[in-house]
Amino acid sequence: MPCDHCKKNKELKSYAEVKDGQIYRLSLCEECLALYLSKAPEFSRNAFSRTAAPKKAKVRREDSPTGLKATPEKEATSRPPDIPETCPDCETSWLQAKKGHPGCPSCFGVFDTLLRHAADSSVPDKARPPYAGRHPQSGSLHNDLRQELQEKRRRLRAVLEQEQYEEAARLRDAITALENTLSAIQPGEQP
Amino acid sequence: MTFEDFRLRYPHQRSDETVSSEIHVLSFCSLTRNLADFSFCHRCSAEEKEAVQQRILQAAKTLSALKDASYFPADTVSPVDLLLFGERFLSSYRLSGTETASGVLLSEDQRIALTLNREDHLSIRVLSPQEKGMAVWEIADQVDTYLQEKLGFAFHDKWGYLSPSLHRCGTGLHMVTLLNMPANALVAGRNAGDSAEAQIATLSSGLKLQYLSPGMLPRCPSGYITPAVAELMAPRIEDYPCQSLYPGSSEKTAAPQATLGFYRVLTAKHVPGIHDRVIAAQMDEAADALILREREARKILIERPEFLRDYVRRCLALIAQTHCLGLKEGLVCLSILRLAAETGHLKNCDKQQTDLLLYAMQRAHLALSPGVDPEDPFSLAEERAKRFRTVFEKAALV
Repeated sequence: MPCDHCKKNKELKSYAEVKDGQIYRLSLCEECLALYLSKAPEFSRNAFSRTAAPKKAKVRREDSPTGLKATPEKEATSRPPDIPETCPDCETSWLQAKKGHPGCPSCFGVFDTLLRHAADSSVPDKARPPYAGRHPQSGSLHNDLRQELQEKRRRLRAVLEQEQYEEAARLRDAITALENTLSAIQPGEQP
Repeated sequence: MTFEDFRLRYPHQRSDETVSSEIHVLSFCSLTRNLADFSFCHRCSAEEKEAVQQRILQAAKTLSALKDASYFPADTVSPVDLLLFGERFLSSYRLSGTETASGVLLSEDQRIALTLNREDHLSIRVLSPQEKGMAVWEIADQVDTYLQEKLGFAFHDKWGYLSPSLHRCGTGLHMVTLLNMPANALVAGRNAGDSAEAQIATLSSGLKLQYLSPGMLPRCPSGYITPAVAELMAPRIEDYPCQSLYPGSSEKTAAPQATLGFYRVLTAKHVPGIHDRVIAAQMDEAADALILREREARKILIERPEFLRDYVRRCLALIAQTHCLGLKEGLVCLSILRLAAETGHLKNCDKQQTDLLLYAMQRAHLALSPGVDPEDPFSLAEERAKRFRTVFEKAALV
């Protein structure tokens, strides 16, 4: 089967995207998929022929072999393959994120596409413009250390999940040292 | 400051006597923030909420503006007393004593209030009776910058400051300017087609002009207006949950007919794609336009004083003769009598006491008096009438 974009016969990867409550499926080769995900301007997303997955026909009660009411599979509730089931930090499920209910700051990284879709759908015909407000001041020693601390905490959670206890112990000591340093310095101090 | 001090000490009022200061009652600015290291409030355990509370309080106490601040945990204050914070515009009226580790850190002068662990981990509110939106936003911005360095707020390059509610993601900004515009209402009634709302809409789509509204509609089973003609002369007394005033209540929490008095609320919330400072500047521009509008209307009223004098007589008669005074009646009287005092039609009127009535006429403030039952609307209306009589006892038409 050829790639949906370059039409060459290669090893294909399947990609699904939820838009307007429908699932769009693509079969792309590795290079085309990378380009699609990187949103390269020369490969506008519209250039890919997206086809909505066919809706499953409703099964009438009398047609059902058991005579019981059959529930057709809900297309919109199938999880896209690139989106994890839950947020690793707060365990918010992807379905909650899809409804626009993030549980922690990490959810915005994990479920960015779903949350953006939820935010945009509340304002019809209008995509949310990029954030243009003030940014937290960066460049101070305090902020830099804080960012490093947050990164280390994230890594600690990840290595604990993978049961890498030696690495976890090393990270825990580094976090304690960073916390002590942070409490000793004043905000706004320059590196 | 103990809670008893807070109950009895009203916030600082305007000191200059210009017309602008009479029209511009107060401004406040709120910034909502969440700590980067914790889940959002609805996903936090009790221990995590305690930790959030401790970290914010530790950081805030090192800020010079808050070094003498007092912290009032919500679970130590009675539900009626919690309303005091909302009635003085210091926090959201949704403050509840049932939330774990929730409370208000309040500066000595009642100008800066940090609300902890409500919908968001932190809400920074700065309030001033004299300064305009930009000046108030700048103070809030300084507090925010300091606390950001100490606490580290959840921020995303594309989303801005993060919040559990997607529509609050961004700057987390909410600005309010309260204006007393009775002349505009009285004159506009005769020149329809040129409304203040239409004027504000031309300035920015992010601005809204609303009224003060009482409490939360879902908790208010009985209405504000009795339509029967036979009841036209009956006192209009609102149900007790609706006897506090809140600016800019959303449509979900306030009935469309619950538009009280001639006080107007100019609000600006976060608008995606616009910087906080631009919103604050638009807010000031709109407030200036409304103040100018009110001044023009006052000029027209002064040229035809019999119109205003008739209103003043009715207000004074109502205050002097009635046993019960509803919130809406009280607010209309207060607004018109402030205008009359300002334009020289009323003598023996203490401006300071008149200003304070805006707070003192509300439910939790009325309940501070001994013998007033905060759950009985007639008891509240009776106390309100008494307070109005005390303040305007010697006031007379010039």
